Amino acid sequence: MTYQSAIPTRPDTLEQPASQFDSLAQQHQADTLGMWVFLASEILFFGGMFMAYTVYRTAFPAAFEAASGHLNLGLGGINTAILLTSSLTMTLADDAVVARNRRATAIWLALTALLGTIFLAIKGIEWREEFREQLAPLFGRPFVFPEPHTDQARLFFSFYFALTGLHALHLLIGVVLVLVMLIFTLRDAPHLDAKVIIAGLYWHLVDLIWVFVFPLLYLAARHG
Amino acid sequence: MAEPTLRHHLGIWLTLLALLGLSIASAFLELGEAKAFVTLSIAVIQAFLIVTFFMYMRKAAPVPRIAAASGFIWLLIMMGLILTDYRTRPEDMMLGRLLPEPAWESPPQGAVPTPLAKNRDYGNPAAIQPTPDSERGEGAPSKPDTSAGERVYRSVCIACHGQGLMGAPRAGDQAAWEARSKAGMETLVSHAVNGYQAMPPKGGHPELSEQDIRGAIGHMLSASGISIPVRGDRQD
Repeated sequence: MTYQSAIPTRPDTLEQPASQFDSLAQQHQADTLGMWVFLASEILFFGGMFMAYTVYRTAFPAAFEAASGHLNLGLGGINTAILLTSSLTMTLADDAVVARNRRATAIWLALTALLGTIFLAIKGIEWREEFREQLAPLFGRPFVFPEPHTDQARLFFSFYFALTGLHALHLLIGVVLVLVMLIFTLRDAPHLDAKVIIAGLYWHLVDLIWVFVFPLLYLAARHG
Repeated sequence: MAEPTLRHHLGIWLTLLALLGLSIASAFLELGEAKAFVTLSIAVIQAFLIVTFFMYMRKAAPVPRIAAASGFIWLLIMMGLILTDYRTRPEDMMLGRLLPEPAWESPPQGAVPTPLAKNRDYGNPAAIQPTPDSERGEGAPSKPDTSAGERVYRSVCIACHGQGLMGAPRAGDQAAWEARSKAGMETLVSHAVNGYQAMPPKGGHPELSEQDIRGAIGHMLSASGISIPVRGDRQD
């Protein structure tokens, strides 16, 4: 079988590979490889925090369960659905760019960036709620949580803000990246298909990380 | 050409949303310990779908595939080693090194013996005084002796029950002990002697007698403001 890498190479393409590559297909494989090496480092970066969280949750199961109950499960669930949907629109942008449909590419990219922005807005609302309830052990602010789990709950919320904060930062970078891709699309930049699909890989990884953040933090509580 | 691809993507997306719904629904079920396992397994399936279809690993060439796999494989190695470490070395968790808190001073290193040490060297041997066999016997009173129990508690049980580590009911937490005392003193003693969930048999100190354990439980109960019918005067 012929491997397509993440970026399919059209047989009728007029684009030439960069001088260090034998073919456009090889160049596309190198693009994918480079992005995945970066993504692997991101996986380990977040994996380390997931691991630390798991160790403390094993040590203080009751406290983490109680603290998780103070998160807004509804907003968290909606946000997860929004991110999964944004991955769909990103994939549709990939399809459009491969089909050389610039108009559709621009629309799907804009929609992806919009969904990412909505996610960040909802995340902001959640954070504001937690700041108001004095559940944010940040910037020397008071932390209020009923005994006997106060100290362990502070630890949970430190993890919560570290994980969701770093994820939000990654998503913000993703939104900027998708907007840059939108500008490239409007300007019909060279190697547009490779650019959009590689940016898409980053977008999907940010989605992938949230897929683990959500059950670890929000579903630790006892509901119902 | 475009139509089947769109339908394919929509199918993946709907599957991902259905799995999300399943994950949230399972959080409302009484699954106990298995809940984290179920929700994380669903997350792994979702991640697999995203990587395979949205990130095109299904069609990828071998080298990008190896690069992608290496991230996950190193993650698994890290998780495996860290979890093995913590599962086989509960002493550090019990000593409170995991979360130093100002309210409680950690016993010095060596005060709690490692489970694998052959010759156990107690930092303060006077603190643990197992009841000699000659003093036990059929006629021994089963009423908890709280002063001896307090000594055992302070030298052994406090490691977990002082702060409520790994699900241990905290001494002084009336609600937690109220629930457990309903099972009766004999159940509590049997759990403590034989081990129960995260609790090792006799708290990891096999030299303690059942009477010591009974006394320590009695101390923790009274510290939590609970009196419990002991053997003999239970109303059956």
